[in-house]
Amino acid sequence: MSEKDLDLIERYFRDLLSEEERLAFEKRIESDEELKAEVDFHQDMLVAAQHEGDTALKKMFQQQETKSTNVANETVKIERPPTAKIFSLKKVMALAASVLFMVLSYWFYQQSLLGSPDLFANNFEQYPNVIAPIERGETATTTLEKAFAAYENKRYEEAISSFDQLENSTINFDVLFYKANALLALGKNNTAMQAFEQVVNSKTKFSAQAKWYLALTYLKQNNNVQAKTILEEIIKDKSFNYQKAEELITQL
Amino acid sequence: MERSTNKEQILADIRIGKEEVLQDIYNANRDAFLTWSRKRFSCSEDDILDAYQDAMIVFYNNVKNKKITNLESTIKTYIFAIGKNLLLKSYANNQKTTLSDNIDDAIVRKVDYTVGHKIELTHRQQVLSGILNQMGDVCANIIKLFYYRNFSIEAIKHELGYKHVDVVKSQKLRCMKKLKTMAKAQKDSLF
Repeated sequence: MSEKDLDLIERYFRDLLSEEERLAFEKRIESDEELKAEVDFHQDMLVAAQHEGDTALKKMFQQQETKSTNVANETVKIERPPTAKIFSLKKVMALAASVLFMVLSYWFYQQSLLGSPDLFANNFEQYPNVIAPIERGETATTTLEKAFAAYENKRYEEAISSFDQLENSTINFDVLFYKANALLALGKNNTAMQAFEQVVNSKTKFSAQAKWYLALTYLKQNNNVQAKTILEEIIKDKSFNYQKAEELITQL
Repeated sequence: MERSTNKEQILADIRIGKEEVLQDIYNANRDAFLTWSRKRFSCSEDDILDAYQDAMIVFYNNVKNKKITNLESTIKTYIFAIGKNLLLKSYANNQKTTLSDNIDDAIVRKVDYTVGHKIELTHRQQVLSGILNQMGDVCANIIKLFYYRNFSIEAIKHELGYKHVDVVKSQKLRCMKKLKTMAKAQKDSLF
C-alpha cells in the first residue's frame, strides 16, 4: 500500500475528498482488491476505535455519577501521630471559617477606607489548614503533613508537588482544593480556576468554599461578569462567605 | 475548567478532547434534563440517565466529526434535542404527554446518533477493539487520537510532544502494522 493511497483512505473517511476525488476513489475500490481490503480494514478500525472511545466516555460519565453521590460523604483520612489532639473537623472548620470571615471583614473595612481598586488582593487569603494541623515543634513526617507544613509556610511550589503525590492514587477533592489555593497564591490562575471548578462540581466538603475562591479567581483575572455570577449564586444559596459576597458584589 | 467565553471556544475545547469541558457541560445540564425527561417519559431513572449520558456522547462525537460546527443555539438546546430523540427512539410508546416543547429539532437534523458502546461489533471489529485495549501506550494513544478523536497528524505531534510530523506518520504506520499482525495472529489462532 503506497503512502499516497493510505492518505487517500484517511481523507476519504474524514470526508475530506472533493466530490470528484471521492467518485474516482470509490470507482477504484471496486476494481482494486488490495485497496478494498485496506478500506475495509480502516472501516473496522474506525468502528473499533469508536467503540473503545465511547465506552471510555460512558465510563467517565458513570463515574461522575458515583462521585457526586458517594464522595459527598467522604472525609479525608488524616494521618496523625497518636499523641496529636483530635479536633472535630467540623468545629475546626467552623472556627476557621469565622476567623477567616472576621479577617476578611476587617480587610474589607480597610479596603473601603482605602478605596483600593484591587478587590482580589484585599480579599484573598489562602484557606486555612484544617486538614492536618501542625503543632509547634513537631516535624512533619507523612506526605500529608509535609504538604500542609509547606502550605502554611507559603512554600507553595513544594506544597503543590506534595499535594500531587497525595492525589496520585485517587482524586481527592479536599486535597485538590488546597492545591488550588496554592496555585492561586502563585498566580497560576487558569490552573487554579480549573481545580476550583472541579471541587465545586464535586459537591464535596469544600465545594462551597471553592466557589468563593473561584469568584476571587475571576476577580483576579478582571472577569467581573463571571465573578458577579458566582457571587450571586453564593448569595442566593447563602453558602460560604455569602455575607462577604454581598459586600463584594456592591463594589463590582 | 476555564470558563469558555464564547461558543467557538467551547467547541474548540471539546474538539481537542478536554474532558473537563465535557464534564462541566454534563454537570451543568444534568438535573434540568432529568427533570424535563421525567415529565415526558415514563421510564426508569436509570434509563433517563443512560439516555442523557448517550446524548452527551453523541454531542461530543458530532462536534468532533464536525457535524456540529457552529452552535446556532445553546449547548443545552443541542443536548436536550439529542437526548429527546434518543429517548423517543427507545421509549416512543412511553410518552406521558404531548406537551409541545420548545426543542428545536432542526438544529440536530444532521446529527449522527451512533453511540459506539452500543454498536454490535463484527468479529473482526471485536478483535480489533480487544487489541486496542491491550496495546502499549504509544500505539493506543496514537490510534485513539487519530481514529477516535479525529486529530490531524499535526495535532498529534503537538499533543504527544513529537518533534516532527514525519515521526508521527511513521510511528502511526508501525502501530497499524502491529495492529494488523496482532489481528491476524488472533484470527489464525481461532481458525
